[in-house]
Amino acid sequence: MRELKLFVVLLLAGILASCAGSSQKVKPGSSGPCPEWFSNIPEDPNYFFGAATAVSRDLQIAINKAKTEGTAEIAKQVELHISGLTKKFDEEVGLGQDANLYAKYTQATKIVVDQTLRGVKVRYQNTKQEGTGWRACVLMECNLNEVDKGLVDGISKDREMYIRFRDSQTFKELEKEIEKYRQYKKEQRLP
Amino acid sequence: MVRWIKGFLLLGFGFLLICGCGKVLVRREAPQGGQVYPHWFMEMPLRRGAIFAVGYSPVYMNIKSSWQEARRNGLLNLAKAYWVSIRGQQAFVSGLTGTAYRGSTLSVEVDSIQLKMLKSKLTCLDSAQIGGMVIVLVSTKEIAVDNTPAPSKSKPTWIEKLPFSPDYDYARGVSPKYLHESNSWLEAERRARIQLAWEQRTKLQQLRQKGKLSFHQVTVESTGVILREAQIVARWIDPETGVHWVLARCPKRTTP
Repeated sequence: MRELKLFVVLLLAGILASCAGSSQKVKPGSSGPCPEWFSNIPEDPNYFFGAATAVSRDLQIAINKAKTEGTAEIAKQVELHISGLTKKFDEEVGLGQDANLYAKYTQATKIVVDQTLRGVKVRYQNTKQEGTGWRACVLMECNLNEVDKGLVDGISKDREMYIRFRDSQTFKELEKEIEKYRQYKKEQRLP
Repeated sequence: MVRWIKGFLLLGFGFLLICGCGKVLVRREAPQGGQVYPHWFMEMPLRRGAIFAVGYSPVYMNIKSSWQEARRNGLLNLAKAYWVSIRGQQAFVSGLTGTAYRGSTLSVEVDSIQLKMLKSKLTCLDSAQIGGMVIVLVSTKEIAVDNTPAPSKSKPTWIEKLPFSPDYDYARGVSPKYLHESNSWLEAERRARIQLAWEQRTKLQQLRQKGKLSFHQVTVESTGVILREAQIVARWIDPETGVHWVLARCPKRTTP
């Protein structure tokens, strides 16, 4: 009787495992069912990349799953980048000592993350049949300069914040990089 | 004389039956063993100041009904191309076994006033009967289009990498092969428009619970945009899998 119960439990576990789709994040250097660009992510200091793969019986759902995973990966990187900048500003401007300034800055960063995710695009996409379902591999990208530009714009909009931040080294560096990016966009006729 | 009038009337009646759009429509029978699509269907015409759309219908016993339905559908698709509101969410749940799709609540709405306005301006530029499907190319302007048979194409580059343009956002839509081919194309077009919406605005919310031996994550993605001048650009059928691919684009200036 106990053996029968164990068999039923194992059978149910097997069915559940086979019903669920799988989604894997990037493992650098790993060879898998995806093309070369999946394991060898392009090295570009101006971009954040999020690679993901997913399977589903419906091709569009496999693509959507992979894209969501890729976007979530980028969101994590953007948050990490923002938190790095926050630390630098804290050291130079003393963000932590002024509650009002910190609240304004946090609000500005939240808007930046929200706006940035609007600009996440698919750089590469690959789909193929796998058993009875589909596998989708995607490489999502997001421009780092857009993140920095959003943050500088957010800070500049508030007079009090701008006065406190403008003389810091980090802010000056950001402005320099954004100016370079503006020139590039002008040359490339980008919106 | 009476016989001549009767013959003339019969000919006229037959002519009206075939012409669902009130103008001469070319009926193209696909040869056995393969589908021949008109060029404008696989590579949609792109003209400044004009928007094009395709209307679909299955072939019915009465072919006139098919033409009429395709025309009606063409009007609806043209209205979607001019103005469409896409709102909703999709959710995924991840655990140790992988990620599972939890469904979506996406609504695609057309402006009813726009629909009425377009009805009076609607122009059918060409039509074709391919296998069990009738298609009609519609626009608001009388423009000559390439209706020669489209050559069978190998996998287009946009399947893997979307075209880049400083003025347009591009997105793909895919659909499996359904019993009625028209349904496959309609679904692929619907999905392409939704993908354009995701491209233009995505809000991501994630809730994660991680223990030593457990992992549970809920991801909700939401969008809410109005797409203007979102036109289908190209189509392709994968000959191996029967999957229908559609490429759509809309101007980057589209406001969320």
